[in-house]
Amino acid sequence: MRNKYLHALFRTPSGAVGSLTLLLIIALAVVGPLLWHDAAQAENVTNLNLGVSRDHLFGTDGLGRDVFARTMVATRLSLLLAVGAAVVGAILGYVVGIVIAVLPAQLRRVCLAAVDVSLSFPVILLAIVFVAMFGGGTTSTIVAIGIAFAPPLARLSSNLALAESRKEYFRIARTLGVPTRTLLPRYLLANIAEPLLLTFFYAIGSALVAVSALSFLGIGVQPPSYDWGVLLVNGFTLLYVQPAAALGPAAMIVVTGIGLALVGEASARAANPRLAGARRRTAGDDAQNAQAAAEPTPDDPTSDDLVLDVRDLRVAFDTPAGEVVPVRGIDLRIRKGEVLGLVGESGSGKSMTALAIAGLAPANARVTTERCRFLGHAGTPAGLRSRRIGQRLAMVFQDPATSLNPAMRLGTQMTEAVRAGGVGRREAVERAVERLTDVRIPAPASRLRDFANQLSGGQRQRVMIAMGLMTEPALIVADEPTTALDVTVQAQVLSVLRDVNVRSGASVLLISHDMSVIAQMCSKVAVMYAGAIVEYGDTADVVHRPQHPYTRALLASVITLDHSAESEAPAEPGGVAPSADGRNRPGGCSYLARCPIASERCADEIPPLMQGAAGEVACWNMADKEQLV
Amino acid sequence: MAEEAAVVSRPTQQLSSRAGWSDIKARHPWLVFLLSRVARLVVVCALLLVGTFLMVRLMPGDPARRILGLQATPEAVELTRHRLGLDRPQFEQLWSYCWNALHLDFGESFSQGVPVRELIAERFPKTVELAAAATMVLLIVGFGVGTLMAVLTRDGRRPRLDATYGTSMGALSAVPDFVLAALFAVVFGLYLKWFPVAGDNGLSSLTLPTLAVAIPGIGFLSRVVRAEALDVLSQNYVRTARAKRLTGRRIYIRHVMPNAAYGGVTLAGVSFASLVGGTVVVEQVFNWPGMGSALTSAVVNRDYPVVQAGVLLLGATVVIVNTLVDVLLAIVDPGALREN
Amino acid sequence: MTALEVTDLRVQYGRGARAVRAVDGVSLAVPSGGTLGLVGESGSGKSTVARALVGLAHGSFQRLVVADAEFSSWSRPAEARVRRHVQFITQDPSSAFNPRSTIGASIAEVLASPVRESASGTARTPAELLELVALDTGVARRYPHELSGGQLQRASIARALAARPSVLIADEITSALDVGVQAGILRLLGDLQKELALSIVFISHNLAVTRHISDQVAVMYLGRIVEAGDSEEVLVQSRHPYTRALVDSVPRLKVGAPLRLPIQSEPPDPRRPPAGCRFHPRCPVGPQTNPERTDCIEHDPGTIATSASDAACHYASQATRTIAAQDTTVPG
Ligand SMILES: Nc1ncnc2c1ncn2[C@@H]1O[C@H](COP(=O)(O)OP(=O)(O)O)[C@@H](O)[C@H]1O
Ligand code: SF4
Ligand code: SF4
Ligand SMILES: [Mg+2]
Repeated sequence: MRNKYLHALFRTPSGAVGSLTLLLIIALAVVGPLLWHDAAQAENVTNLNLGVSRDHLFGTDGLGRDVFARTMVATRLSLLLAVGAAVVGAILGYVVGIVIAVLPAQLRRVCLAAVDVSLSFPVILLAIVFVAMFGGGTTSTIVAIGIAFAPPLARLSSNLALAESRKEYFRIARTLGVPTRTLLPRYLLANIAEPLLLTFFYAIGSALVAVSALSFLGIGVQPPSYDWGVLLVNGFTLLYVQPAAALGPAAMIVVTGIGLALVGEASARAANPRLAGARRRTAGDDAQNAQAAAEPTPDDPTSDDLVLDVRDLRVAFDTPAGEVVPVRGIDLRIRKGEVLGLVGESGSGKSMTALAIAGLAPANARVTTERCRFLGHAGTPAGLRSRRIGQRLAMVFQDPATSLNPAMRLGTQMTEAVRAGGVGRREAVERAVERLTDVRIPAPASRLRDFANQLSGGQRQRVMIAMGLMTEPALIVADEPTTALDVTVQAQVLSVLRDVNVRSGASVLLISHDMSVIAQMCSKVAVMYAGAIVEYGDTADVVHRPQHPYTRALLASVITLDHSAESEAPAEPGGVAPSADGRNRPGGCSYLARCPIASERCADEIPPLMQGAAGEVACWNMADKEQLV
Repeated sequence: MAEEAAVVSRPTQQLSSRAGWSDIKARHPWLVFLLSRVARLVVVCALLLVGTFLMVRLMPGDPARRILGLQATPEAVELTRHRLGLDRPQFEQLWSYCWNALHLDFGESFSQGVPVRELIAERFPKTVELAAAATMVLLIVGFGVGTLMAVLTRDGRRPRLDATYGTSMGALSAVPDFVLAALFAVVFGLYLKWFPVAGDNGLSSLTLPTLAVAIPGIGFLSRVVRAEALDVLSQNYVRTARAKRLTGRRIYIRHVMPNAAYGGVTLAGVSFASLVGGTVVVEQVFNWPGMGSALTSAVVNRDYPVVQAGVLLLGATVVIVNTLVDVLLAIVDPGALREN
Repeated sequence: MTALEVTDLRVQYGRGARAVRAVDGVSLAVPSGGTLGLVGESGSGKSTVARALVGLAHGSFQRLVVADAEFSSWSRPAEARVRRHVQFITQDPSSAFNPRSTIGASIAEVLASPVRESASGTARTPAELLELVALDTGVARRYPHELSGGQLQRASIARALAARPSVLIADEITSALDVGVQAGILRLLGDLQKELALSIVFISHNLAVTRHISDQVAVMYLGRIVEAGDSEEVLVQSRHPYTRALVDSVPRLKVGAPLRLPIQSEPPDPRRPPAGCRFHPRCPVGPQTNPERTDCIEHDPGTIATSASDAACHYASQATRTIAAQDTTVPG
């Protein structure tokens, strides 16, 4: 952990600058009083209130003392006060916070409410109150600011500790009999130490500001002791005569504060990858937006039976670790009214395929096709961003709980797309009611006023389908629409999807990892493995006469009621698939490592999709012999 | 369908006769919510009263002695004890303190000899004025910059801008307000002579203190706003909105902003509350005739009635603002009310 | 011989009108060395039963038997006994491990626990345990985020076995996994059961999966068990209409088979369970379709125990498999 921080600190220029600044300040705090003590004390009545000169970098004060020397000497006290106050605050706050976290629920609520109240007072105000009680001076400044800092630190530590003790792994460890003496250090403290340390670091910076502020107000450090705040206020009285006397100490406060902030920022980035800008991109690209303006034109009247025709679709990402290619050149053809299944294990690239053909691939994805036609319009998948064409493709996502906007009424969400296309309000609402009826939502008219959290999971997914239906789609892409749902609810959603397909004639691309779902729903099926389609054909052929060894493994792993307990245990595809970043990808067939029927050729050449006994198969040993050259 | 709904709702009607507190809670969430917030407000104000009362009494040593210093005669000390009411029984003291405070009677200022109430009536509006102006600047700039940065750097775009922004905002929030105040006074007041550096002569006097109070907060606020906006942008429902081919503008206005508003209102409230009590130092620099400078000189002069009244008033303001924010949040997101 | 038995288990969340009786009088018996399956929709209370049995949810019961020791209320000795003998595996393996510890360290912690010293069976090293669940021993040095869902689920089984339990409660442990990975985990569970003489409570919403691994099955609906018995029997001759609905919901691997839609409506609000039979608003053969079945609305068919192969339905005796659930056959 320490290495991680050190690395992070010096990796970024700002972290390196911050750390060096802090080291310098600490060095000053150590040697400052030794080197400059005499100069700082020497009064000289002939040198009162002098301006900046070679001898007096920050000029002199009202007693003729050298302000630069005094500023250097004050480093030690200022730092000690800041660190002292932060330590007092941290000890108080962290102890109180963690104790609150382990109190019984009722008592805890009362204590947290009390902390919340004190939290709402500005630190400086609280500090003033305590100074008013204890009087000024060095010790009482530390104590006052420490106490004033305690509430936010207490709140933070109790929040963290509570969250940690509610984590599933914490509870499970308890049932496993892991004793408290292990739980406390290894689970609780280990997981909250990092944010607490970081906060402590920030607290030093804030304490420096608060201490200086109190001294500045004349109620902190009392003469003859002096810190930067005292020097600042002394200089301040001379502001118009000799600004350097104020700006010198001010600069020290700022430099130290920035040093602390930079180091804090760098360590926070190291601790939290989200701050490091490593966020996954999910939005559209500007370049893609620009393309949207140029609407694709119909140019191929012969293929009007094909709703979607994509050839050689590739999706690649450039990452720091190298190129990642989740989709490696696949063809998809979907006919009018057809339900095409796309099946494969997770990570095989199904979702990325769906997002890419809908023009919703992440912004940093490179999506390329040899040919892409939707409803006879040529263009790129991103061309679908054009509203008129794009709305004829509807998406249903895996997680219905997060795919609906929680803050918008269902009616608004359902109608906004068609309203934007110029449909009147009343007509849009009527259509929404109709669509909700189509997906068998009871009392649809009143549902329109509800929010998503008022629906069950299955209802939400059906509303998602209804929402897609608003724009009369020609193709519905449903990415694992039932994976998060119970079997009973799955049956409801699938039957709605089937209904919609039959009644509206919309084609469906149904993505699933479960062959039994595909078998029930689809007329054609494409089996995807490691970014490529390895088998394609009529569902009956693929399910009853699978060709590719991977398809057979997928089928064997399905558990249905037809497997009686006595029959052979279902098999699982053994081993692991090659990952999208190209590691452990063999030169030849990507299924090689798991394949029970591999032969010599498999290691050398990648099998393309070839004619099989029925349908197409990407396997050297299952393709029609005539096909092989 | 209608049939099904009717059957499902039947047991509901049968059971609804079981009225109780939690039933009222379920049926009138607004009423219960408002009641609970008002109750909390009252409790906290009561605690503030007791707290400021104890503040003087819990001080180490004799407050009267501390006010007057070690040289004071025993008679003078006795007189001060009487003026503070310290010679009466504790409960009576507390009672009369609360009673008077509720009538806004805090006695006379030791150092200035005028009723504390008058002093405050003069000073308090000035502080609110400064805090409100600073909050406005803070919110406009903070939200503007934060949202802009979120849009510019979303999905890991412009990583260099992202890093520069993070660093500079971190540095900005490390500059204390009084240093900024001093700097502004020198640069804009003294050398450029654009603005007056002391007192209160209307808007031009307000400018420098406002900026000095607001700017350190911008570093913090804009980063929080950016994080909040990025979080909303990465939600699945934003992807759904894209799938519906809504225009970028509509996605931002209808889907992103309302969901970011919750965090925004909270932050606005917190900012104002902390600024009301946080202008102390800047007031001192610019000689702004507000509560802050009055409070500071009262602490220096051991003018306890003023300290008590000041803390009580600023504290109550903070708590009232927080309550208003809570209510506003409930309006922004009625769903949260139901869950609570 | 039963490894774990509970009578009249009740668990309530919340109070007043918002109270949910998540478990409302459930009695279960896990045969020693056998597997009891617990099925039902999400929200029916399966997980709460599991969590109450290991003390993670606070429940009351009349009788709890753990490895031949009987208790009449939740007490320290009861808790100690449960900790010794019963272990629990959850649905989401990614939240089941301390992110700061290696898998090996997490397992070692359990091995070092003082409670374990008196446990039966032979102690094993983390490496042996990982081998037992067919994981590479190198996994011991890895952190949770470095493993796939299936690997993590195996690791959490290994950790549970470190405690040398006699009863394993597996709560939807394959629901978050691909079917292929699920098959492997189920096979592992079966093998372990034979090797270590484990008793297992297997919880799932999928009746086919449950039947695949269980000797006995209990079907839960809205906090109660509505049918229980020998797993083949419950499946082939299900007597409760809800069981039949669950059976019909399982997708078949048969192309062109009609798509069945056994239940159309949503489960009712658990805070206000319907009067009479709790299933009546959704029951395909209840008062919705047969208005003369007023019993269903007026009388509660009651709760039952696992011992008797019975169903909580007034018309269970008349029910046969041939009463077809609403089929929606759509030409494909
Ligand atoms: N933004 C991204 N950057 C890099 N790799 C990604 C990104 N999104 C997905 N991937 C990779 O793409 C592969 C396929 O993922 P996905 O399409 O979600 O598969 P499936 O839907 O079949 O589960 C995975 O290996 C994943 O790591
Ligand atoms: S090509 Fe070879 S390795 Fe690949 S699936 Fe066919 S037989 Fe197996
Ligand atoms: S009692 Fe009536 S409503 Fe309940 S399951 Fe039986 S038939 Fe259906
Ligand atoms: Mg997926």
